Amino acid sequence: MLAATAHLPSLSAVPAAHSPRLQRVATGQAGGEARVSGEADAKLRALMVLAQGGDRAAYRDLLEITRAQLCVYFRHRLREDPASADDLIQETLIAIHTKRASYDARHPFMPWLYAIARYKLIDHYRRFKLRRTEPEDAAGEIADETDDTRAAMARLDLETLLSRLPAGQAEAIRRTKLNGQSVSETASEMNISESLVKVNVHRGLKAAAALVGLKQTDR
Amino acid sequence: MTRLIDDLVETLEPAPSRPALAVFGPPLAIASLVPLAAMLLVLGFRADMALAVTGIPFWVKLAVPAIVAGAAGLALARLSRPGSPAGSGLMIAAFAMLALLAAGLFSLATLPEGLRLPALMGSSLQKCLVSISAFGVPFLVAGFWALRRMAPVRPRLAGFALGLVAGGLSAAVYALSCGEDALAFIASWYQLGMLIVASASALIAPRIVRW
Repeated sequence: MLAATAHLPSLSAVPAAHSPRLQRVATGQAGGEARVSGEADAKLRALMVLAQGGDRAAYRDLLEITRAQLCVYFRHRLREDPASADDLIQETLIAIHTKRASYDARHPFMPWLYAIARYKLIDHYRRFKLRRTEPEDAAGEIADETDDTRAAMARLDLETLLSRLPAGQAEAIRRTKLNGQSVSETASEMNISESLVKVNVHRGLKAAAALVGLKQTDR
Repeated sequence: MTRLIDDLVETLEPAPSRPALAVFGPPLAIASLVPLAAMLLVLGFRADMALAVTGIPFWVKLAVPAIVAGAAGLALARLSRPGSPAGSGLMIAAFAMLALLAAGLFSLATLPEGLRLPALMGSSLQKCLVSISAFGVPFLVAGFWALRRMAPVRPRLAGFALGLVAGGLSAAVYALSCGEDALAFIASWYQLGMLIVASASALIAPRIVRW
């Protein structure tokens, strides 16, 4: 189901006159968002409208350009934490995908894109703060428990951990790993594709492992 | 990361943008059946309906909540899309509510002192607050169901706007049953009921619409 099979040539589908300029605009100046011309926005808007109609070539171009812009945006703001910046780029791309119907073509594209990026950045800061303040409270209390409480505590710990993951990842893990749903059930109920469920579970587990690792080194 | 883009491209299906009215309208319309049925079966229309429709207070009770719901709906439509500022919907709603409050205070001022407190407190204050809050719940459930399909980047404010929509609709439904006609009563307790729904909605919104 993963994409290795049906590759569309990356940028060749876009009219040759358009894409290099867009790329330059997209990867250009640090901070990026203010510098984009109305013309470039109109082109992204057109690509997005095509993508909303199901045009995969246009969608690929849009995502490639957007990814470059997001790289600038997040790496600039998270200079000391490139790993989180990369995570946020991916999360934002996934959010663009799942929320693509929320873009209204009567409005410019950039404000839509950067509002999502900012939302993800704020969400990241919030989770980061939680991560730094909460573990100390819990650390002392886990010393000795009976087997009865241990299961309950584990479940609670798990929920705490999941609550620090992005919503989509937490949901995918909860359904596939805790509630025993299949990937395809999860996909149809979350209204996303199966491969996206797998991506979310995989990335969520990775992030959760990193969180737990962090807690242990803290102590 | 290229893998991710490959995945996203491969799973692309058409997802056209829909007007906010098409997203929120049908669920809210279906949800309205619950409070309407509850109003009809549990409370009943007000006994003096035939007479009441000839007076102004009955229509104020319907119109102000409806205006508040409509104006908050405009704000909700914008707040559910990233990159659109909230616009003036919430201002219009606030203006309508303050205007009613002013009218209520003015009506109190014109009454003889002994009649003021009875006019303000009415005889069904508790029923009014409980009903408006309770009728708001089905609207909130439907509204959040729809809002989760959108992408609010300010969840708390979007939740507040949704709560005003729900509270306004719920107050309008309750107005069909309520026999209170004092402006001071409507201005205070109808609006308090709407604000209760809106505040509750703003409180829970960030947990419900996380994406």
